[in-house]
Amino acid sequence: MNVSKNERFSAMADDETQGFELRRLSDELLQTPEDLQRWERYHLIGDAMRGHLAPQLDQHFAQGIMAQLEQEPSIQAAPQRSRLRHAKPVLGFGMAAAVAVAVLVGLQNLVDGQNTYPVLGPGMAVQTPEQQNIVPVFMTASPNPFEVSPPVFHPNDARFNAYIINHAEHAGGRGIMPYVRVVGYAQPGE
Amino acid sequence: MRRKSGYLLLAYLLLAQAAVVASEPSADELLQKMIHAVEFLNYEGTFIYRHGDKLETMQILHARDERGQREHLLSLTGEPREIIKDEHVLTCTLSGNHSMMLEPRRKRTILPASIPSYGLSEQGHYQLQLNDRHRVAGLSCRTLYILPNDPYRYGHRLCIEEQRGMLLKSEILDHAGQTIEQVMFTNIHFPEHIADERFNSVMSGEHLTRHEIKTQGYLRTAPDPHWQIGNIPAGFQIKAVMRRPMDASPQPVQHLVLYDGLASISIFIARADTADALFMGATQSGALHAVAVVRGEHQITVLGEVPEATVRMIADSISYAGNRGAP
Repeated sequence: MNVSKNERFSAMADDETQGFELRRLSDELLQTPEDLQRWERYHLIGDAMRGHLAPQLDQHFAQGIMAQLEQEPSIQAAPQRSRLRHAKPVLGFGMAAAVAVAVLVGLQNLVDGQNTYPVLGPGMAVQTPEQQNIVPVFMTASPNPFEVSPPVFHPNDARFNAYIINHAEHAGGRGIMPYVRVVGYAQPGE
Repeated sequence: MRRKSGYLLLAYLLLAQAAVVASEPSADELLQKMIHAVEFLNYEGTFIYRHGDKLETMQILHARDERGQREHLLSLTGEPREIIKDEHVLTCTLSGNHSMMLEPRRKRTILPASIPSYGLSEQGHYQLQLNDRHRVAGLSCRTLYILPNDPYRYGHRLCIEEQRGMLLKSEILDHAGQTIEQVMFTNIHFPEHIADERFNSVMSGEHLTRHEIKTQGYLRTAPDPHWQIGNIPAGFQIKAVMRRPMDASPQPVQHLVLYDGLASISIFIARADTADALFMGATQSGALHAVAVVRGEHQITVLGEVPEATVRMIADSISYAGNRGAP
């Protein structure tokens, strides 16, 4: 593993990598257990420096982090960039504490309420409500304020969070992925 | 004599091979073993969760003893969050002022993967296929595919440690075979005993909100039977219908659950007090898709670990069949 790769993984651990580069690095990580362990160490180191670690997590954790720091020449050696990189999340966390209200992880691809029906494959015709003979459910002769087009919902909406956690608890089989979405990482400002 | 010895050797090798084949579990047997293992084993490990362009690290503790199941899920990266669950109480600690309400009434693991119900392969909507072996978290595991027979649901690629049956890696696959979500242990061990204090919260500091939800205490009201789903994909059945208070709405929310033995879909129907409380659109997180539509003054939100078109089809087919306006 060369220095530039260390730098890239370190940047990814600090959420400074996006898009294609992030996907490429993720693929690399998942294919190489050593890289994955190194990436995890970067995360833990970053969390330790930002004071995010829970004291009861592991009695010997602080010593472990120090030992890991000693094993990371690219961080020790570093760089100017490294200091800046670790400074930014500290600031970011302060902002995040005020603005990060998302419970969910990475909700994305907001479709703005348009009727975008993705093609699923042969044999499945997705029907529009008109094709399905949907009966209007709320009919009244008086002007109805609810007939105004509602806004597109925001994925960080607290109501949606409640739906997710209730889905996790009540739906499905024995293992429920949405718990992870609740516990997982939400980017500040998402 | 030499020829006779050769035949004996060949027969021995064939018998040995047959014995190996006979000892190999079938796909169904391995799946059953896994379902049992994730509920009944003690395990402690760290896993990565990949969804879209994001990669996160989490820690899980799971104990099973005479007191039932206890679990602790903790994020190791990003915002501090945790869920601690036993047979009676679920405690969710988050940053900020989130609040949520739920009834933890099911004995269910929070292992982050879709664990199917028993008898999945007999239901005809998925095929099971055993494949090659890999190494995950230092342990050998056998790949098991759960492939859907139609486009209404996703496929799964699991890697299961054969000795104990523990699930070490789980991927949700789209119809092109691309991974949408992935969970993979990076280390795991199976302690005989996990100390009680390990299930205490490890989070502290400012800006944390802790919610403790007990098993009982929320009044349910009778569901409105007039809400109907016009299009339910084959294989999904209505598993539950309930109506109860929820943080999502000042009015009781009707919650219907569809289930096909592996994938589940929730339908939430809530009456809005004002037009401002309504919202619509579609969103996703990994394999979870959600679609929100409006029926009159009712908010309908459909979400589940299925393709977007499936939740949209269901959402668009929901109607109220009562003679008068919906309550």
